[in-house]
Amino acid sequence: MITIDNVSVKYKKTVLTGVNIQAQSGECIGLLGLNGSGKSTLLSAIAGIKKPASGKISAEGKIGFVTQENALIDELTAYDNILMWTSMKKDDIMNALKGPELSILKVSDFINVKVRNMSGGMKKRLALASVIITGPDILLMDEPLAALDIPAKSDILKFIDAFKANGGIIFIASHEAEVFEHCDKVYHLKDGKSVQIDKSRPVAEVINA
Amino acid sequence: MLKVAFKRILVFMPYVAAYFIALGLAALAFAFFGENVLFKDGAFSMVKVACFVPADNSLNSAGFSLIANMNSIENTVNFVECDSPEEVREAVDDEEVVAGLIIPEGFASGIFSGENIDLEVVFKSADTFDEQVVKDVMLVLANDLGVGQACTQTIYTFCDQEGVEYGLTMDLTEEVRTRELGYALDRLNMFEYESVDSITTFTLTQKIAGAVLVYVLLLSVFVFAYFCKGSNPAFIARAKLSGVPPVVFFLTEAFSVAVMMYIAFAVIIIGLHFTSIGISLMALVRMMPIIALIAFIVTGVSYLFKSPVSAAYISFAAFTVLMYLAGGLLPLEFLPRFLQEGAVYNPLKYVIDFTLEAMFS
Repeated sequence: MITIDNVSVKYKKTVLTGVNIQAQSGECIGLLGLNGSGKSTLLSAIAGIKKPASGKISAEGKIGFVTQENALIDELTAYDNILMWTSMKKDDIMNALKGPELSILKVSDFINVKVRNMSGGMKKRLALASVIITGPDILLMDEPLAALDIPAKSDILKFIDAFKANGGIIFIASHEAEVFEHCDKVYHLKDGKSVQIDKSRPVAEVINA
Repeated sequence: MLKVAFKRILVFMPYVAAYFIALGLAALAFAFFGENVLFKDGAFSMVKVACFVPADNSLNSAGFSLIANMNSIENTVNFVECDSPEEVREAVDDEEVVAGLIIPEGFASGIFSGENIDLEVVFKSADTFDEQVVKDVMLVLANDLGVGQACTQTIYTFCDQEGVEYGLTMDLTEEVRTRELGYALDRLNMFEYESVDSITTFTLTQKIAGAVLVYVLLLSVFVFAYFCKGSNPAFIARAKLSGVPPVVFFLTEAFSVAVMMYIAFAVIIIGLHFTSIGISLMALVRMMPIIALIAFIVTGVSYLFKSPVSAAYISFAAFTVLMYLAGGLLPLEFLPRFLQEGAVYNPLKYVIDFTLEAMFS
């Protein structure tokens, strides 16, 4: 469970005030808003990277953060990039990648490919897998579907459902309408405030309202 | 993480090698031939001293040439010959030279006749380090010639007083001269005696090579900014959530940079060892602290800027200016006086000095 209680965060021109969100195990929370509305700032605050100016964030469990920019090293292979953040042995890594959740991302298909030779979709799958392999209970995803092709989007959405089904909590910041179909609650961030909206409302309508 | 760091070094090393080959070769060419480009007549030093050597006795020019060609003098002073003592004084007054040495007419013959004729050393107040060195050298030189003169005169006076034939004292005179000359030629003794920093013992070629090497190492930000990930928020977030403290992440990357830098440096040093520039292989050990320091600076600079391109261009501008102000790319004497005086506050000057000591001493 994660509780965001009356949290205010300041970062550059972005100011979030009095954000209240609660998520239970197996829930997916969508964060919708224009660029600069504070979606990434809120995710950073949940991850503990940015300290809230006031309020409290309490999270039970390990947090994993898939940032918008992939934290991957171009010169290394997919395997080495995973190895960078874990002390697991090669066999354990390979077994984990073939497990029920991670197999959706199909990273073992390109485990020996260098990142610089990968497509955008492969990089996002790898970035996500390298976080998941460390066993987070809470997953934060910043624009996970941005600039991805259809198969990659489909696999990542399948993964989101699988992660939820296993009791994980997901926070997703996105502009993509299809993401919110997989969310249990959607919050619209505007003018520094967060407002829960009906997830069935069209994204364009919410944004332009 | 260490295993991956090692792999990163292996896969990144070709880029580092390409950088050092591209820039390092150009820089070394400058080090070898810059002396001829920058200075007329392939002078060894930018520190100019005017001198007047009278033509009344061939011993004057023979003695002067002997001393001017001593390694320590040759590497420190570029002598400008004048036609008269007045010309020497004018050159000092006009600050065309930092000091003047006037050997008066009759100096050499006076040694044998017992007439006491003093050398004249002319200079103004010393502001820069090099000028102070020159003055120390000039005083030693004058003192040295004076001692020789006095010794010879004493011997001849002794002969006169005791009624000893001059011819019988030839051996003694020769011995005194040999010892005095040996003293003058032993630059280590001379510099130790005068507490002159051994930096003066490096040739201009060595100075340029040392400074340029520091410059090439510093500018490796161009390639290492792409290696270092500490300025990337995605990596910072990842490290933090993986339980890797930022300082450990920094140290791991700085160490990797140092290793790559050292490998490239070692190849350069081993190559230069077989040239005439005179680099000792001991430099491979003595330069370790400098390489480590520069690796930390380069990694730190890379962390300051989000974009590797910004890190490269801004550090290029900053390091180039600092190198000029430290006298690394051009001798300080080319710069205005206030900048020469300010060089003592420039940390790069000390990095260059240490590099020279480590590589050539």
